[in-house]
Amino acid sequence: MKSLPSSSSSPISRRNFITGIAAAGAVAASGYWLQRGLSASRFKADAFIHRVAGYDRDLKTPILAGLKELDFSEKDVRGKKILLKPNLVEPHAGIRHINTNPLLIRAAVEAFLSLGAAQVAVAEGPGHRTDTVLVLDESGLSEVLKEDRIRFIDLNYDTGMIVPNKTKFTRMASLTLPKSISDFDWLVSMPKMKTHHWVGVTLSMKNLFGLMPGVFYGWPKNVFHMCGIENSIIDINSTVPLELAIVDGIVGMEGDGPIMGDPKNAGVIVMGRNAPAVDATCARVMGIDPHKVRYLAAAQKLNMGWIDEEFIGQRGEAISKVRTDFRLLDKIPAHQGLRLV
Amino acid sequence: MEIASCLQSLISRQKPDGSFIPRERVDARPDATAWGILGLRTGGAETEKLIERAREHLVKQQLPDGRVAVSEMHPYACWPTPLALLAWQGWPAGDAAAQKGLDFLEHLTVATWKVEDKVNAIDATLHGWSWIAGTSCWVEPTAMAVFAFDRYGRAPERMKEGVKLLLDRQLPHGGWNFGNTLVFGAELFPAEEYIGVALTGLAGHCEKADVARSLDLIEKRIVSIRSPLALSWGILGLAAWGRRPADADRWIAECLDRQQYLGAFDTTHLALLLLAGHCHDGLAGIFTAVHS
Repeated sequence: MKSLPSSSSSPISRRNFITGIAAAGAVAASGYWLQRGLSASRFKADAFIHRVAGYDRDLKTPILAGLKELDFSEKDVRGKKILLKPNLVEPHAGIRHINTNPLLIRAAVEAFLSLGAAQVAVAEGPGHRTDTVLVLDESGLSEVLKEDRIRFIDLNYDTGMIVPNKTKFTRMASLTLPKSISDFDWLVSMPKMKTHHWVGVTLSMKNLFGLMPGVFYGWPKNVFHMCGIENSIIDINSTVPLELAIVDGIVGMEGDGPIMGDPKNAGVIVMGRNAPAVDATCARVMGIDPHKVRYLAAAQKLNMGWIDEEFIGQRGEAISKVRTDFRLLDKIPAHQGLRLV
Repeated sequence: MEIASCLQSLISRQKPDGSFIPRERVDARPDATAWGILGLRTGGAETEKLIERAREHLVKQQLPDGRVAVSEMHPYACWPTPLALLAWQGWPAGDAAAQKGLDFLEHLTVATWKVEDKVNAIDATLHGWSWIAGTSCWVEPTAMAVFAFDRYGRAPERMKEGVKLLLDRQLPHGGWNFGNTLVFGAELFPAEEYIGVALTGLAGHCEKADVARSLDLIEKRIVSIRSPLALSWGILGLAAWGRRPADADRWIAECLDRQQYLGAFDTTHLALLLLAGHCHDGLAGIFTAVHS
């Protein structure tokens, strides 16, 4: 770690965030796996929206439709080893709107396998819990994993793989990623559509916090909070190659997200290859201006992807048809001024 | 799976150099080695040589300033230090290493701030312990450090402050989570593994009334839990306060059985389940004598 804040530093430092955008320069990468991080697919800024009324509906067909709309062919998927990264930050029995729904995860596994994927596994490093087995139990995922014999990888306790930090907004020279992810061809972010009380929204980019192993970064991944959550989102996303995002917006969370908020029936799945474009589309569905979400605005400035609506190819449902404003709270500073006019 | 075969599984995780791997095909890690040692202590005389070898290996992992980090490449990740101290407890050959470790913990720099933290509703001035050097203090590393100081009969001011921090981070309706209580006025959810760890750290440092709600809460919730960390820490936390559940051994066996479809548990999980089965008065019971 290059520089951790001193003992007198504030808990959430955003001071370096804006200056970092201006200072971000050449990106150095080593190895094939890392080179894929800023591959051409990042700049295919299409986003697909599909209405889904509930988790009791057919979820596999919309995902297959999304893959087709996003120009994934059977040939692209065949033989690939695919790792799904849902959001399982902190489950509680009976509260299903915190985490990615296990039935959507199952549908994604089935969709990729039906297209000939060689392997589809699920991985997470829960941010708030050390007992990952309990996380699987209370989220309902352990049942799905058991029934469908799906492999699960606990990223919190994985062997570390030190890679250069491509953007260094956190001032960390390197990041320690879980080594297991390098065994896979594709990483798919599968977040829950939620408001977030520190950074406005948590979607496919913020979801990658859960990749970072707790053994190296602690619980609740406090190093990244200390270095600035927004800085960390940019660093992790610029460093980790993401192939696809599938956002669970069937029932999301509004208000005091990412844990204590209320369920919000948005009734959509949003998919895309480019994380900023997918997250910007989700934000608009939530009635939130993506340009007001600092890390999304930064992502576009850094050429990580588009958030401008005119540069995102909208597939499936139109945003205007599915927009449903997620409640923002006056008491939360990060929610102020986010509403899409 | 019987608890006895759990000990054999644990022994199978030890490498010839004495270290323990967290699970198959993963590199050895000091935290796994430390928990392996503590788990082996339930095995009596037959495991003494294995423990000796593991302790010697763990001493070699200690950095010059006394910390024991997750890996050489991650010196900031120093949270295994109290675990190493517990692993060396009662071992005269580890005296020097233990003293260095205790000194390191006593002076570890953590992030605190003097301004009242109204958003998080915690006393952020308190110095407990962090997972990662230089970052904020959290429940588990603080409880483990307090517990380690206790086992060596040392009670520096820092330890007393750690106790205060644990009490400060107790949720209004009982229990603990990773270490936040209220954020923007909303009380956060408790988490069973941290409740057990905090109760273990606080045993002997506060009145039962101070943690009564937390004891009641974990007693109620543990009945339906069969995951290794939450179950073992829950049992150990309750046992530390004289409330070990009567069905604890059955629950441990049911939890161990889940490996048939979940796959083999981590070394830490196996060790903690062994300890939860063995230590009917809490984790302190494994340390037969205070090492002076």
